[in-house]
Amino acid sequence: MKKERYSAPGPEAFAGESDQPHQMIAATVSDEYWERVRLFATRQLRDRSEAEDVAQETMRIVLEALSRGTILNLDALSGFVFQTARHLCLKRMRSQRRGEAALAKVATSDIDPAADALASLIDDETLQRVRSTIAALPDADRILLQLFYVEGLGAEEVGRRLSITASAARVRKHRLIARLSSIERGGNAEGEPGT
Amino acid sequence: MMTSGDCDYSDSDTPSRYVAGALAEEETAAFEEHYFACGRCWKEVSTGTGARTALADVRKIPAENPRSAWWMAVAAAAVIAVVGLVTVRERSVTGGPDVIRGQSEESIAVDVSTGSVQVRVRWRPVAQAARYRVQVRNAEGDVIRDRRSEGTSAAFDDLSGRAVFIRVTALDAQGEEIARSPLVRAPSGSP
Repeated sequence: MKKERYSAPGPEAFAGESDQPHQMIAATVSDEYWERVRLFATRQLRDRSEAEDVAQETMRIVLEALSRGTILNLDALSGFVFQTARHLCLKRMRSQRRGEAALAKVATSDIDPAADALASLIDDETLQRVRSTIAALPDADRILLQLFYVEGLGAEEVGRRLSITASAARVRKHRLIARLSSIERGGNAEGEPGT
Repeated sequence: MMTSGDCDYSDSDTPSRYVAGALAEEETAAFEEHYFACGRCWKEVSTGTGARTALADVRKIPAENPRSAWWMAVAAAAVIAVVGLVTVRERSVTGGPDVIRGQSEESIAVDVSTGSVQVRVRWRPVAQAARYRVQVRNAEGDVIRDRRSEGTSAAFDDLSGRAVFIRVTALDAQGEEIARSPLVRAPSGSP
């Protein structure tokens, strides 16, 4: 099935066209938090479309709070966004009568990031680029990613299994993440940024 | 927004363990609130989630490396040649069918038999396979036949008397590999 690329809605989705300062704030908030809320909500709800709804609703509530002056300290903005998204997720879980089962899933952190909903957060083209890059990595690097991001092992254990130090494992992990991050943003396999 | 110098998780495994779903409940909640404020951790969570998704696919499809594939073919040929010798020896004693059985770790069981004019390949169906790819390689590892089939058998002419190796690959509806057999040497033709 073809996956669509979901991106943050433009500021017009949250503000009136004549309200220029509000639009700028809306754009900034949306750029900064949209993907975070979407990933967080997808992990909680296991449903991409519901996560999209939560992200929309969260942005609306945050921007309304900003325009009313409810959020006086912008350093607290990230916490406000997170708590709003969390509250909306819990509300949805309850309202859909999935309450106990879904809350139990969260409570036991029985979260599978490889679930379809999470996989669908990445569009096909980007996933293909990341997949090709990972497939072309030396075995040791691919195994290192596997041990960290699939097995969930700590650097000490990863280092032990690969016969390197824990700090070397961390350094290699950070380099690989920087490289893959560049690929996701359209850069090349050497980690050089895209245009 | 927090700078990386303020990050409590800058040298920890928490972001990757979060992506893997390996954090305890309290750690998860605390870290989720944290990555809303921390660009560095968010980058690792976002990219790590993508990597995890891609790794699931990459594990199913081994990287194509012609050189290693060639060496693997030679190595497999050497192993199979030994197995083949043993099998031929047994056959001369038992007079059993002219068949070598192969079984891959992905459980495609393949039977290869050699008749007077044809090499015939049969395999067990694989769940969710839309079609199969059957490759025939010579002793140098070169592909000399490459055929697609929606069934569970294929026959090749003009191969009798040659040292050839067969591999069957199961493909899903998108054409992606989901299982494969080992390289199986076709037994020499019936005398």
